[in-house]
Amino acid sequence: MRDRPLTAWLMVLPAAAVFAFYITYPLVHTVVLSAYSWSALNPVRTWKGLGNYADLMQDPVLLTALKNNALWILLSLAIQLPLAMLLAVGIGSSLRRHRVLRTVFFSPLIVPAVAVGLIWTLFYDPNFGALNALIEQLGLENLTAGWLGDPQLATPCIITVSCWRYTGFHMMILLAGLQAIPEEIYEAARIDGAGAWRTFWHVTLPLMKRIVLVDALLITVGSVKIFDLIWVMTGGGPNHASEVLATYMYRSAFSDDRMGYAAAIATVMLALTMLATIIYVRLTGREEAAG
Amino acid sequence: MTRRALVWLRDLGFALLAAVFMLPLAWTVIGSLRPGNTLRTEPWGLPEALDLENYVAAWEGDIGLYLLNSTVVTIVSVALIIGLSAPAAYAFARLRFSGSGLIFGFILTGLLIPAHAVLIPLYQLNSALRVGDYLAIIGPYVAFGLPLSTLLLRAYFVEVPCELMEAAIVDGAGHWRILWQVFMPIARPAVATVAIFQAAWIWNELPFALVFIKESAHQTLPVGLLSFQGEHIANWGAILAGVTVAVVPLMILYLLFQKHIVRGLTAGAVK
Amino acid sequence: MKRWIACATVLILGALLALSGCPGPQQDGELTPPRQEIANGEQATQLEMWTIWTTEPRKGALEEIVASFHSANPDVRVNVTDVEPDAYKTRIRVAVGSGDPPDIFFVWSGEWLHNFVRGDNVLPITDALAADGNAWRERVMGDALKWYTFDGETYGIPFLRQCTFFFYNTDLLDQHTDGIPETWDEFLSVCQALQDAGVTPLALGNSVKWPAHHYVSCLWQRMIGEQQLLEDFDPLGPGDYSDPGYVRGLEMFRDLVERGCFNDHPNGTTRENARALFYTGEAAMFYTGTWNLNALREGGEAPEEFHDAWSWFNFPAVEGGDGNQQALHGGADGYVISSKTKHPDKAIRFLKHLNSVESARLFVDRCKELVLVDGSVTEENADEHLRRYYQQVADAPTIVPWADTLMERSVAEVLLNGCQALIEGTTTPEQIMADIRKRQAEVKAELQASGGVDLGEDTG
Repeated sequence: MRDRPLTAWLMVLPAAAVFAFYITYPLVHTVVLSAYSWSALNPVRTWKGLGNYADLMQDPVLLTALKNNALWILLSLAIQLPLAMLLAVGIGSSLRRHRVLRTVFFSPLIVPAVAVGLIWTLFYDPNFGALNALIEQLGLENLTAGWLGDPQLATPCIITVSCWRYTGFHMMILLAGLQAIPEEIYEAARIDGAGAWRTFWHVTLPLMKRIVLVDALLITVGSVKIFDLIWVMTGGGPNHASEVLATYMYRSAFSDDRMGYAAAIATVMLALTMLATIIYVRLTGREEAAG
Repeated sequence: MTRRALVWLRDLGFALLAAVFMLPLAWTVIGSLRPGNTLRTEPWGLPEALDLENYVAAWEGDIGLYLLNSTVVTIVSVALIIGLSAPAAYAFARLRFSGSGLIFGFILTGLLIPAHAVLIPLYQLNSALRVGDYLAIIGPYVAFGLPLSTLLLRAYFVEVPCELMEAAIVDGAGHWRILWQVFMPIARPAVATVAIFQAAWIWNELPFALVFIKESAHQTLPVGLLSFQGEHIANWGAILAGVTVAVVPLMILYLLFQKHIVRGLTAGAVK
Repeated sequence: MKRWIACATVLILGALLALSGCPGPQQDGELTPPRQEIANGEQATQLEMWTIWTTEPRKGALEEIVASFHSANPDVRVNVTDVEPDAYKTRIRVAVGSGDPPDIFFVWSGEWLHNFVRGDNVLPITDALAADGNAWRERVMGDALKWYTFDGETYGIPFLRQCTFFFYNTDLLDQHTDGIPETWDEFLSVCQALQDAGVTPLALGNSVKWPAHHYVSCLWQRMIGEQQLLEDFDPLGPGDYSDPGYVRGLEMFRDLVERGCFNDHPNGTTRENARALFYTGEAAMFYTGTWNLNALREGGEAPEEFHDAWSWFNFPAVEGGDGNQQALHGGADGYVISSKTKHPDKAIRFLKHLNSVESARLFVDRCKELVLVDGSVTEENADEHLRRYYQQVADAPTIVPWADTLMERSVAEVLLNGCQALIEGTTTPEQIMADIRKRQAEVKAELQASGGVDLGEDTG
C-alpha cells in the first residue's frame, strides 16, 4: 500500500479537531482545576497543589468506590460477555428466524434511564415489590431482603439491571464479529467430526478474539464510568454502599460543592480508564503483530 | 435426545430469556394504560379499560415537541458522527502514516471520559461561543460519539479484503472515492450498527441536554420526561406514557436498520 | 517527514487549545448581553426566571401570576424556565458558576441559599423591603424573612412554607392507643401499643437519605437550645457539636429502629412507597412534610376511603430538653435575584408582585399550599387542613430549620449517611458525631483559606 500522508491527515484531522475541541480541552481544564479548592458559586479559587489527591488517599469512600468499580468490572465481564456470546451464537445460527428475538434483547437499551430506575426500584421494593412477593410465594420467607437498601446487595442488584440493559448491546457487537466468519470453516470443522462445543472453542472463539477484546474493553470502560443506573436507583447509598467513582464525583461537585475534589476524582477515573486502554492496545498490538 | 429435541429446548430457553428481557418494557406499556396512583400498591395490575388519560397528559405536557427536538438533534448528530468518523477510521485502518497509533489512541481516550468530568468547562465553552441550544448539545454529542464509531468502523474496515482496494486503486480511484464508493457500501452493516448505537445513546442522553439547553421549547425527550416529576409528587402514569412514546421511534429505527445489518452480513462481503 | 508531521500536530493542537481558550479572559470582562427581543414592536426588558415548579398546579399558578404582572407592567417580560428539582440543583450551580445566571431564581432556605450568598451571587433587597414604611417587609408572615437574612442584609423572599409533622391514621390510633402522644415517652408507648396490635407504627422511606434525619433533627431541636444549634450548624460558627444532646438524639432514633417501629428495610424504601404504606393502612404514622397534604386529601393519590381518615400532630416534647418544646420544624422555599442582573429594579418589581397578597391568594387557591404572606389562606381558597396548618404556623413560637438544610452540604452528607448506617446497625451515634466534627473542622479550614468567607471583609 502506498503511503499518502497528506490524504491520511485530511481524513483524520476533522475528527481529531472536533474531539480535541470538545473533549480534550475541557478535560485539561478539569485536570488543572483539580489543583484548586473551589466552589462553583464562588469566584475565589485557592491553590491546593496535590492537596485534593492527598485528601482522596485518606478518604474511605474512595476506597468503597474503587472496590465497587472493581466489582462492576468483574461481574459485568463475567456475566455479560458469556451471556452476550451465548445469545450471539444461538441467534446467529439462524438469522432470519430470530430477528424478533434480537430486537427483544436489544430493547432494554432504548428505555430511558428514568424509566429503568422506576421499573426496577418498584421490582426491588421491600414492601410492595415483585421480587420479595415471588420469594414469599416460593415459601422462602427468610430470603426476602431490602435489596437496594441493603449495603451488601445494592451493588449486585444494580449490576443485574445493567446486565439486563447492556447485554443486548454486546450481543450486537459480537454478532457482527460472528457473521464475519466464513461458512466454509464451519463446514470443514463438521467434516472433521467436531461437535458443537469443540467447534465453538477451537474455531469460533479464536477467530473472534479481536472483537471479543474490543467488547471486553467496552465493558471494562463502561464499568469504570457507570453512573446513571446507580444514580436513579440508589444515588450511591445506603451510606455510600453502592458508590462508584462517577457518582462520588457527581455528588462532590454538585451536592457537596467541592469542585476541586470532584475534579481530582475525575482525574483518577481518567487515569484508570487510560490504564485499561493501554492494556487493550498492548493485547491487540501483540495480536496484530502475531497475525 | 434427538437433535430436534435439542433445538426445541434451545429455542425454549431463548424464548424464556426473551420474556425476561421483554418484561420491563411490557410493564411500561401496560402501566401507561393504568391510572398512575395504583402503580405503587399494585405494580402488576392490568388496565381495567383502555384508558388513554396518561397519553393525553403526556401530550399536554408537550411530548410532541420534545419528540421533534430529539429527532432533529439525533439525526444531525448521528450524520455528523458517521461523516467524521468514517474517513478517520479508514485512515487508521488502511493508511500507514506516522502518528497514526498516537492519534487513534488519543481519540480512543474519549471512550473513557465520563460526561460529568467536562460538564462545567463545556458549559463555559458554550456560553463563550454563544451557540444556540441545539448546537450546544450537538457539538459534545458528536465529540463523544466519535471514539466508539471510529473504533467499530476501523475494526470493520481492517477486515475488508485488500484485493477490493487494490482493484479500485488500479482504476485510478483516490482514497476518498474508495472510502465512499467501495468501503461504505460494504461496511453498511457496521455503519448501521454504529448509527443505531449512537442514536440510542443520544436519544436518551441526559446530563448534557439538561445543563446546556436553556429554552424549555428546545428540550429533548429525556429532559421533557423529567418535567413530569414534581418536587414531591410525580405523575408516573404520564411518565410511562411518555416513555412508551419515546421508545417507539427507536424501535422502528432499529427494525429498519436491522434489515440492512442482516443483508450486509449475509452478503458475505468480508474475509 | 515524521518530525514535520509531529511538529504540525503540536502546532495545530496548540492553536486549537489557544483558540478554545481565547474566549475565557474576554468572558470575564464583559457580561453576556441579555436576550433582548422586540415584543409586539415594543422594546420590553426580558427577565429570565428559573423555577422547580414543573408540575401542575404550581406551574399554572405561576403562569397566572406572571400574566397578571405582564398586564400591569408592559415594559417587562418574565420568561419562566422550569426544571425538575434534582436536575435544577446541578443546572443552577453550573449557570451561576460560569457567570451566566438567570435574573430571578428559586432557592431552598438554609445553607443552600447561604452558599449562593457567600459567593456574592445574590442581590440584597433590604432597602426595597423597607420602602414605604416597611410595607413589603410586614406583609411576610411571621419572622420568615429571618431565614433569608445574613449579616443584616435580606436576600430574596421566602415563598412556600413546608413543615414536618407526624401524620397519623385516625382509625388505627383510635382503635389501638390512648390518643395523641404529647411527650416522647407517650409516643414510645403509642408505638408499643400499635406493635402489640400487629400494626407497623411508622412508615419510613429513606432511600433518598434525608427522611430519617428529620427525626434526628427534631430530637436535637427539642434537647439542645436553638442558639446552640445555630452556632454548631454554621460552618464558620463557634460551635463544635460538643453538646451531649447530639449523641442522645441519635441514640433515641436508634432506639426506634431497634424496637422495630419502622417498616421493613427503610433504606430500600422510596419516599413514595412509604407514603403508600401509610395510606394503605400498613403503617399507622408517617413523619413527613406538609408537601404530602395534596397526595392525601381528596383528589390526591390516596384511595377514596382514606381521605377522611388522617390527621397530624406536632413532634412530641422531650422532657428536660433545652429547646422550645412547641417549636415547629421546617423549611421555606423562595426566590432571589441574581447579583449579575442588568435590571435589578424590574426584577425587584416582579418579586414584589409575586409576594403580594393577591398573588399569594391565587397561589393558595390553585395549589392548596401555604404561602408565607399574611392573609394568604382564607375561608374561600383553602380547606380545613390548610387552614389548620396556616394557624399552626401563625401561632408557632418558633420554626426551626431542618438540620440538613442548615449544615454545610458535605457535613450534612455525613449526618445523612450516618442515619442510613444507623438503620443498618453498622455505626454508632458517637462515631457519627466524631465524623461530623472532623468534616466540620476540614470545611472550616477550607472556607477560611479561600478568603471568600466574610462578606463584610469582601465588600468593605
